[in-house]
Amino acid sequence: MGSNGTRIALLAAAVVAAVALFVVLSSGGDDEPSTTSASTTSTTTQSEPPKEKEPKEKPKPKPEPEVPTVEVKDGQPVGGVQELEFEAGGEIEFNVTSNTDMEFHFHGYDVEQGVSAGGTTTFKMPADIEGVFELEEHDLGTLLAEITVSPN
Amino acid sequence: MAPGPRRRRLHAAAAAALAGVGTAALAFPAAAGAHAALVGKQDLPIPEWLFAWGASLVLIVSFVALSIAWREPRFEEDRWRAVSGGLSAVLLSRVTQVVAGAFSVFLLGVVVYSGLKGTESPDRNFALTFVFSTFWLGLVGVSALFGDVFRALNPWRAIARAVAGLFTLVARQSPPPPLRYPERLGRWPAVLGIAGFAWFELVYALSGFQAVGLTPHSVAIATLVYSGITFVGMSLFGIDKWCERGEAFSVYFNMFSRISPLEVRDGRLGTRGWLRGTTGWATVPGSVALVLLVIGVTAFDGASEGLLKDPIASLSTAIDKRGALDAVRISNTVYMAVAVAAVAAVFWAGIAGMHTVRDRAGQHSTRELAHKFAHSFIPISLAYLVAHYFSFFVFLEQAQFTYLLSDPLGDGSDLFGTAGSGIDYGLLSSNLVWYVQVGSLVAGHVLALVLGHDRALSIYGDARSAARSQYWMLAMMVGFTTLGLFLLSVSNA
Repeated sequence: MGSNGTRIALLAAAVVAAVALFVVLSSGGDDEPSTTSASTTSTTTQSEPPKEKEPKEKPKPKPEPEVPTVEVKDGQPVGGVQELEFEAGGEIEFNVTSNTDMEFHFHGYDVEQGVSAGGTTTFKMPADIEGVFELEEHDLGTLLAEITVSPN
Repeated sequence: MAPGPRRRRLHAAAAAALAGVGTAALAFPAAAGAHAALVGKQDLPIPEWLFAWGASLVLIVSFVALSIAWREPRFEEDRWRAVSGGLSAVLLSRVTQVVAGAFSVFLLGVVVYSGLKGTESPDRNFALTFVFSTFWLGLVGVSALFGDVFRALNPWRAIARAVAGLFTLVARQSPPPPLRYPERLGRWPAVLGIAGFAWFELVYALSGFQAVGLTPHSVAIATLVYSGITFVGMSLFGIDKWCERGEAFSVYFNMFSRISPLEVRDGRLGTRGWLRGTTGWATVPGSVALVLLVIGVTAFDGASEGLLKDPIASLSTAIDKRGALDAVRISNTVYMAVAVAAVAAVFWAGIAGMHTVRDRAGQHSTRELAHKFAHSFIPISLAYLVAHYFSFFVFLEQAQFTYLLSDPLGDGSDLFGTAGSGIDYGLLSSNLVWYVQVGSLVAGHVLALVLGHDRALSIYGDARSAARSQYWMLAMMVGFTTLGLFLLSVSNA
């Protein structure tokens, strides 16, 4: 294509588009960090609404992070597949209870632990791999929880 | 050219088109198959700030590309030149061919044997990781870098050639001439084959709520069935003709090999410019379908974990309340078809728009235009594959070359002393994965623009009409690239 005028116009359009896009998207994404950092303590009963910023921080006057628990009844996770979040560099810690004898497999970190009927087992380890990992029942592979470890 | 009201109108039209495609991309739905069974870790979604940067970069790059575009086609001539004798002679010698062929037949045998006789645990059996990662993904990368190596490593071709050679030796006459391949079919048999493979991997292989759909056994059976089909095709239409048109993997890997600067021609190895091999690729029927299919199924795979997860789940419960595996498969089949159709619709809309720009030699039909520009989507399809499967591939190849190599059947043997090693999931940080994902999508986008603009110059003659036609291409490509970024940013939500 031709004249300098056109070139300048196109370059200007590029810059404008970039700035506009960035402003639009970054205003929506600003609070992302606070969402992630607040994660370790989040209770595990519901899949939390991902993008709400304000509500996230207020209902959390609890001083000590309580250890989330995945409750398994008759081989199925109570309340559906649980979502747990931890930060890389910190600790992963959660309990699993079951009313039947069960073996669990925590993928990626590759830890296997079992529990006898009515008992509790605690998974505890340094959060040194980032990603999303599945906690499954060992034999059938029933998905019980998804554990997210995000970079800090 | 005279900047004026007319040009301003065009800019406005282009901007509107961009916005339209962008919105379409956001409405796109998402799913995952064999992958979950093989790798114990999924990537974190791309964070919003990086998505914003990636998308901005795509727009900036696009407008900059338009502003500095060249005026004469540069890629149409591939300028292939033979490399000097020695290397070519060694690489293409009969001995090398026999060794490579034997090696590939051996690997085919290992896949079938370990699938049938090995452990049923998917991640402990050689068959699955080899087929879905080393072969299906690895050869894409190798082809794009080093050319069409699968021609030498094609076990079916090697077997068929050996059989034909034996026949000649025993019967003292050459095998009967093959049927004439119906040229109207083009690459369509291969398109069906690739669609079938993708369906097998992403739909049939799904881990259901309770059941694992994919077993090493089913992979072995599928391999045998496909081998049978391939031998029938080869004996009907000739070995090389079937490899060019019907043998799905030959056609698939050949498409990516067009990016590479290396090509064997008339029995000699030669070099050409990067990407130049793509320009003559899409002249055959079925080519447009193939490149769009690759983009469509990859998008589906990404989307099924995030964007499409809920729609797929609700459709399958609507079909069967207990969520039986068959219902899940039907639902995924529907959405895979929807994903491919959506990608095709965006493509045809862009082509139809381009059709409104008058070209020098009368008017090309939209169908002709589609074939003229399809090759520029090869880099985008490659970028989709890299972005979606890079980390998956890195993890699985660690398994491939450690415990799967030493213990292919998963029965506790340790052939090379590496059975005890495993996958180090800490190898790739999230940041590295994200940068590779965004980087590959942006790079694919740039290469696609380059090829599109170059082809437009040769069709439209003058740079001005070429540029006008390319607003449509640009809109379409920005749509695909943004979609790719978007899918990565919402996965496993």
